[in-house]
Amino acid sequence: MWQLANKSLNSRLLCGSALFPSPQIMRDSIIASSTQVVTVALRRQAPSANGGSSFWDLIKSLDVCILPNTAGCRTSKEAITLAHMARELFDTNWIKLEVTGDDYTLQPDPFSLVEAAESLIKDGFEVFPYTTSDLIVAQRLVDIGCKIIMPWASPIGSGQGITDPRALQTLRNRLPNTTLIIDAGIGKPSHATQAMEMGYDAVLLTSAIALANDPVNMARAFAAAIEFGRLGFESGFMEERPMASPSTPTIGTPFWHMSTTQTQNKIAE
Amino acid sequence: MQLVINGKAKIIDGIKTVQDLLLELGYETDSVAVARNNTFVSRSTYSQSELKDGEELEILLPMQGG
Repeated sequence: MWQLANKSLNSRLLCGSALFPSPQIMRDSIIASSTQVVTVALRRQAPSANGGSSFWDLIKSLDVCILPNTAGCRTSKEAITLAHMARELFDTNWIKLEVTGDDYTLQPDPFSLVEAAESLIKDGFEVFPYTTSDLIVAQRLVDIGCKIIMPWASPIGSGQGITDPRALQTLRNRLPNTTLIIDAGIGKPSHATQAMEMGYDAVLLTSAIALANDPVNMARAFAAAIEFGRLGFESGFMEERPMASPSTPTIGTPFWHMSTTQTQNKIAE
Repeated sequence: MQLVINGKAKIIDGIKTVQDLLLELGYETDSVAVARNNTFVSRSTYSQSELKDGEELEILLPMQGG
């Protein structure tokens, strides 16, 4: 079990609800992933089919924690307004805060992000800010009250995995008391395992499961990758060594004096 | 009156409040979230929020997200 904001969870996989080929596959994948947190959004929709209610009913049936996002917002004002709308509609104070600064990289505008986060924290939100691997931005977010930071592995939907592991390791080392969740850019289960081996608390992903050839089995793969990456981290890794170190005992090595003489002769030559 | 609803200009007569507007457009008030001129409107105030000509409304519903 681990603590995410006010919830105790078993799973360290957070999953999105977008891009799945069908609602049924979305449902089956979420179940297969064992995730207990699902991200959702708010969008303009026509009222004719009471758009949104069938999706919302399906999500509610899964009995997961809802994490609404402010995807698409480009200013702090837009993100703050959308967060308030999400809190009322989804009945949660959790908000995945996104304030997009660039249409191609979809990376956040860090200045507007910090501004929006500060306002929302004052209004009682539990803010999950989506950010880059920049240490200074992350530290500012912590300084203004964020207890959770969600740095990217690489751009949203890119599937590139962790492109700057040293920066992410720096964040982990410098923010030991902050809940850190890698969000965005994950493509393969091994990427998620790498994140967990670094000591990150969880991974949030959507495209890697939804766009897989077999989303349901990919969801299972990610569940296992994250679980065992965390187990590995908690078990304590051996230290890297600059040279080889024999794993078979050297005491009792046969022929050792003969091979030693041959080695010395070769060195002498 | 003319309103901009979800980015589109519309002329709607015979309504006074946000509540009236939602019912006129066919939305269920419990299933939407509303912003008026980029400011959140709480559901508890829908029937008191009187609309003015030219205002902008966002009427949003739950959607898949990442």
